[in-house]
Amino acid sequence: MSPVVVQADIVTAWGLGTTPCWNGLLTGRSAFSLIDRFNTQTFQTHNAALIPGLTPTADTSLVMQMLRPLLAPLAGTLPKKTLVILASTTGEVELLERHCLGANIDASESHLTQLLGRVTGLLGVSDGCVISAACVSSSAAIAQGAALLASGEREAVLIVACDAVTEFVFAGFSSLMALDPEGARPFDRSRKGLTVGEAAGTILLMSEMAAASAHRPILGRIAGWGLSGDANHMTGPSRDGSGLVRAIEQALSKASMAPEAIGSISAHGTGTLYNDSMELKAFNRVFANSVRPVYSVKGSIGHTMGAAGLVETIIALESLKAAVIPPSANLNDIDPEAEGWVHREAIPAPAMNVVLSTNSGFGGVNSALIITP
Amino acid sequence: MKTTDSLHIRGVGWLNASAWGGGLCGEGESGPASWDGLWKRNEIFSNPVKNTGRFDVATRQTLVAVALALRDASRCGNASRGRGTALVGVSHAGSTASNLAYFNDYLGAGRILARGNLFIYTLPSSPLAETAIHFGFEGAMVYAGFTGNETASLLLTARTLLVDGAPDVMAIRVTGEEAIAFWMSHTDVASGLNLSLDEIMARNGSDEPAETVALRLHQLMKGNGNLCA
Repeated sequence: MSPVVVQADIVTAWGLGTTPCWNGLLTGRSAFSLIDRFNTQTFQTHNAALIPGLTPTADTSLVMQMLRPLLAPLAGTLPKKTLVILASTTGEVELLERHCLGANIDASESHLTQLLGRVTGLLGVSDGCVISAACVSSSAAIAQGAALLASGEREAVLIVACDAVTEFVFAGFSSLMALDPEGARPFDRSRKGLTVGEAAGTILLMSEMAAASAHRPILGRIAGWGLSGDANHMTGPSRDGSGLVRAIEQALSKASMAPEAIGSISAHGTGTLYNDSMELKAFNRVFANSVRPVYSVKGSIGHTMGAAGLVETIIALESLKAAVIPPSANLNDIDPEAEGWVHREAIPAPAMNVVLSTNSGFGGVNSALIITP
Repeated sequence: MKTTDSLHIRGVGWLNASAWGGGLCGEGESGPASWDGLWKRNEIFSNPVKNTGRFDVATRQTLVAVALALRDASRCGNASRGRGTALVGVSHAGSTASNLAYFNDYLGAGRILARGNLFIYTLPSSPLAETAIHFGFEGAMVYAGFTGNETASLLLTARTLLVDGAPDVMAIRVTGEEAIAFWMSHTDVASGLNLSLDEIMARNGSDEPAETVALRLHQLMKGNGNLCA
């Protein structure tokens, strides 16, 4: 039986909660705003998808500010022996920034395992680990959690994902010329790069039997999952999409599904030239050129890095619940390669019951999750 | 799904400040020659490693430990593999050293322009990515972090990947002072060691030195009557 999702919540640039994010996505608009946390004068762009009201402070990191309202309702409510998997790329890296700028903070405070300790402490849970795999971090954590449940090794796994917009990260992406000055335009002919975003979220996965005996509501299922590597390049994807194809095929195999079962695709869709093209090549191969609706949330909420996979899983669940496929924001001039696949408007999909969610990241990592009601 | 009660070790590579070697076959060298010089030895790296000058210490240690694990398996007659090898790595400090190098360089340059070739090593998974690229590992690739015994947790995570369908897994622990890589697979391969977690390591709650773990595995290999080349 597939692992089931019994709890899910997010905070994104559209605010706290899944509903504001879903409603924001349906507007087809961007939640990008001017960065005032650090000086962006010399960078490629000055905008990011920032969570409203989030401000650096001396005593609480940005990601802990994001996580506290999400974790507080969960404390004391988690099943016994829940494993917490923290998924992030840089976590509380601003503590390292402050160390370098002369503050009395040890750089080791920025270790992801330190953040894990803070998260498990807030939750009152003793059992946890970190999973980090570039921008696939939280989808890899969901895959790992699903594998632990499917094998019977665990009955409950809480995935906690987070990443913040920091000077550390922003300066790095700018140095790689990876940012679109006009804002991310996934699958657009004129796309020039991504928009950095921040988000945090939680998903509680359980075995179906454990969920039933605990009388937990089932929000959806992780029916299949797959992870692969391109073994090709540190920052760029394989041009032919073969790595992503393998991840999708693994996920379909685990779900015992044929490609025809997939109703829509939540693409990684960063807005970089190579990523979006690579994904479309992979989709063409898997689906034998049989077009189906593809969307990216990153033109609206930015690229939330390690949190992206978890946020997109929750949006996929919302899409299934609403029977609506959200639009891709900032899609003005559809790339010829994406013609027929992507759309500017929300699409009603009353018969849709399977979403494929894909992510890819630095180092050539790829993930595919198959999500069902 | 396959089930794996015990851990099947095909090869082990390890290094520290003064020595390096293979775990199962017991091969090793010690003395002033640094493990860092192993790049140039084609019996260790059959294909030249590119861009070594830009690698951080964690990446260099990861690559060498993995090369030694593959060599260890080869000496035990068990080197064949497909391209689906998964990678899981653990290091308590993650990418902190590289993060400091990148951000201090950025600050030193007037906080105007960062260096992309330093930024790409600021992910904890970056050493694994370079390793996957060099050796052609096309399976899952994840950095894992734990608060308790890292080696035990690492091996259990590798086992989960195997049970989940990975044909084989390279599991690496790097500390900055030393590194150890375990090449693991399902039990249906020709040679290697089938061991429980307790046999691989002394379960005393803390991590043992890589060389100690490697020596224990070599003794177990000899005790099983397995001979290496």
